[in-house]
Amino acid sequence: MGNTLVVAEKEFKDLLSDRILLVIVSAFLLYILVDLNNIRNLLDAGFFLKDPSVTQNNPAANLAQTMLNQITFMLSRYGAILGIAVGFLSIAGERHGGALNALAVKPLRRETIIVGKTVGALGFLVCVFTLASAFITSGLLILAANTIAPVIGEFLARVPAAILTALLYTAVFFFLSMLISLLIDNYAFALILSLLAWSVSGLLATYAFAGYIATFLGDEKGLGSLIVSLSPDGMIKNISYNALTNFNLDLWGCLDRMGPETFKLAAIVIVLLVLSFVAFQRRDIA
Amino acid sequence: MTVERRTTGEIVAIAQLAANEFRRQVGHPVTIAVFGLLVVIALANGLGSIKVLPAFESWMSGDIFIKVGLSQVFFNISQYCSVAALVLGLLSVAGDRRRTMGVLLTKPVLKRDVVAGKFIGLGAFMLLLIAVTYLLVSLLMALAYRGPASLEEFTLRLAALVLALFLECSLLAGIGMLIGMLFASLKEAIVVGVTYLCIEWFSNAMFMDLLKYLSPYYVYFRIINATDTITVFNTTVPFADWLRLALPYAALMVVGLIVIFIINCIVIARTEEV
Repeated sequence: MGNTLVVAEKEFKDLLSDRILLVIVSAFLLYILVDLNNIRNLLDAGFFLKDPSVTQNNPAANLAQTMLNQITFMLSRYGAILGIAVGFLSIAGERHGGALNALAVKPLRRETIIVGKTVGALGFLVCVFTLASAFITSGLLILAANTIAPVIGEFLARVPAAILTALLYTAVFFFLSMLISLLIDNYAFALILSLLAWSVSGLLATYAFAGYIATFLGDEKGLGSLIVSLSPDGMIKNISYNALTNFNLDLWGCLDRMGPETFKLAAIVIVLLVLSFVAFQRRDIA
Repeated sequence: MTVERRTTGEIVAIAQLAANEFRRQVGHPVTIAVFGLLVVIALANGLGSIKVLPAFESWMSGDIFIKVGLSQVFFNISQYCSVAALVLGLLSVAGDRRRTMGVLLTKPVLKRDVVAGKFIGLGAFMLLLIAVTYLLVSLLMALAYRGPASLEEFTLRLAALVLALFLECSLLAGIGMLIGMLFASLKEAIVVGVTYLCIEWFSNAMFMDLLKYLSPYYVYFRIINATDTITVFNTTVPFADWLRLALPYAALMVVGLIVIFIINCIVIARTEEV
């Protein structure tokens, strides 16, 4: 346990002092800032009072719905990039630099190394996520607290669920990137493959792909929904649109509806985690 | 006479470097992965066209083949080709750093010729990849649904689509090369490149005021969708009307290409150690 924590601490410090990762985190915060600016412009233009796509005749609920959507999608979209980068730097970056090989020849069990690295990297991701979540939530509240005042309790109660959803989504791509980096020796290709896997997840959740295949097979709605729900992107879409942003449901109803999709995301995370651990144990990482 | 001979020698050297770069990209794992995905997208689009496209005929004006069939795949094709362009550009320089690039620069060729050769080779490869993908998509749709209403209109619009994406991809390949030259390690270069691409494609960060004109993504989409109604896919609007509005953006993209090429030449000229 002691060694695991030492490896985790080292991993955390390494990531924290990695200048490239700091650039990515800064880009993350910049991305949030720019999106907040867009929301401010939409608010000024009265968009949420007349947006025909919203389902409720309640400006407060409309805006709270949009804000929860923003929190989920902004955090998950950029979180995935961050997760891929952290997973890649933790394994492929160190494999290439020889640091992982040096660590593997130390009198440490391999599971200590992988558990320590995973804990350290996840700790780093959680810290960045906490910062980004605080940044975006406080930004949105500063911009729109007056408008959403009637539903602010309901909104704040759902924010942790939105953050957790985004964190689970990020963890999927963190472990996927880790696994790919362990399995593929060409580390540049490993990163590109992780990125492509992420974009395929997005592709599976689009009508142009899932809808077309389902239509060809004669069951646009049922099969289309099934294909969409198989990808992490489809899962967070289902969580966000069917549960999180549905203010017709009370909090328990919302959590109840989130359950199955959240469970699927968590299951993918666990499968990828186990596969990464097995790959690390069995593969020659030199 | 000597100047003429030197120029011819340079052109031959650039052509050889370009041909070499082109050959290297054909079997690259990134190319294979991206092309595999593009084929899957083309197949899904072709299969879906059998039932989806006829449904539009009863209520939509214009050529459904172009307006719906091609526009449905346009975003995904653009996205994957852009990823390929930036990454291949980056790897052509950063991946070479400790190997062939060093050897290459000890040869009697100018550094700018190396950049030009790689740039042209990559551009030609991307043009081939884009053209093959769109032709495959069109062929599968024609087999599954029917051919375009007007072959002339289709040829013009397809050529415009291919050329617009080719310009965007060439610019991204140039940016990829620049990132590859600026960062000391491949690890850093590739993480920065991927982050840049994701911000370009998925955030609004590039769409602020004048900054948007520096974004290949924004300019590319303005070429395709010159206005809300005048787009390259809308066959109810004459092609010339679209072209008139799209040309300034295409010109901006060409200027961007020239600028990035010059920057790359300057950066490589100042690079002591490769």
